[in-house]
Amino acid sequence: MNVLRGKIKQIQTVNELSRIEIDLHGHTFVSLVIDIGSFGEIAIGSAVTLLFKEAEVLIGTKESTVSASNAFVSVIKKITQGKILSEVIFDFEGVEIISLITTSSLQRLQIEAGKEFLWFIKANEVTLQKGAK
Amino acid sequence: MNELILSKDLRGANGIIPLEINTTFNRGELTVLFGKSGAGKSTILKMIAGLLEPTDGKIVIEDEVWYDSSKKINLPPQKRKIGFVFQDYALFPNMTVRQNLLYALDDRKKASKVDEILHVTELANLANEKPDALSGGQKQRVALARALVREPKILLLDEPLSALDFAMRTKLQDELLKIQRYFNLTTILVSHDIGEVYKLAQFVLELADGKIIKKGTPNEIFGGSKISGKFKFSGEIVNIVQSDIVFVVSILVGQNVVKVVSTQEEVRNLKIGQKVTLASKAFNPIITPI
Repeated sequence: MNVLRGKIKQIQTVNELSRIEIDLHGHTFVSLVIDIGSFGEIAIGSAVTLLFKEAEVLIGTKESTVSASNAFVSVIKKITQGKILSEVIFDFEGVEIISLITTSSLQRLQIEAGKEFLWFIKANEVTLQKGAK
Repeated sequence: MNELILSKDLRGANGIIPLEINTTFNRGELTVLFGKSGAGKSTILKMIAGLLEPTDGKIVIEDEVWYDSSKKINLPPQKRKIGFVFQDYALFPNMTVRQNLLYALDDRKKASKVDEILHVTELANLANEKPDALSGGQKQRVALARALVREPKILLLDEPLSALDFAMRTKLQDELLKIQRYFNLTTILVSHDIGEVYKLAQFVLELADGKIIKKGTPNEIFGGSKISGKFKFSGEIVNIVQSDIVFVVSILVGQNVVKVVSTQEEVRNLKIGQKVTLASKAFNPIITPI
């Protein structure tokens, strides 16, 4: 699981659906949440943890334009290659972001440690956890 | 509204523990008393049932005062409309299932109630069996049915499922839930099983050393509500298998085993038998009509 810590920046709610902006050291992350009321009180500026699965993190070339709200260019720190799947570890502001993609895609995009690539995750895949441990 | 104000000195293993309870709980809801043994959970049930008198306090069930030390009110147990189910079934062995239920009826004219209860608890086809012919789970279902025929204002359940094996316990939890919601019956369940509390409770009172230390929904008490996921279950890890560079973790949720892909680093903090919360975003599940 990828874990990032930030602060709530903005909340926009339409009926059951909320779009939440989270500030992470000057970068803005977006999470979509249903029925935010059941999550309890969340105030602007309060600490929050972002959780997302490795397999939901996609990779593109640096120049790619994508619809995902959360897209960042980072240097690849390490790659663990399996027969079917590969784990690509990015260095995002000193925090490791892990992407799990197929080994065939890894080879197709010629992804290698030390290179810069775009990693991205859709807002609907980002889970929020109250507080920042 | 239901109200409990109870105080009494309990004799515990390590000396006197003063029981001090002051709480309300909602009509028609299932409230769980959760806590370690010796916390005073069963004592509270006995006080509601009138089997043990508090030193002072007040017991109000469905707006009816059953006990009030200041007004010298103390209804005897037989005047309190309760259904009580213990871990031990306490059925009459010489009577059939139907006879056991009929015996509990206050008013013999209400024999049709027995049929309704036998139907709801799915015991109709066992009505003429004697308890010895029944399994542990069936016996406990009869004990529950017998508690229901008296049309209690409150159902008191003292760890009724703890003697049953896991599969039977899960099944009876489902049935208990169905029955409690069907009759909208104010229920107090004593339990120390978090999975059970999560599944059954609408409200939890956590006790320690004779005091309520936390009140709230299971999520508020056990912390799951900190996560915003809409697909949220509690379960137990039953298996972890490496597959290529990832791991497949099998988790028992209710009676179903679900499999979740996890990474090596994540698996390092997981072990078989561990209780976990499983959460997913509301966007992921796919709905297909059956």
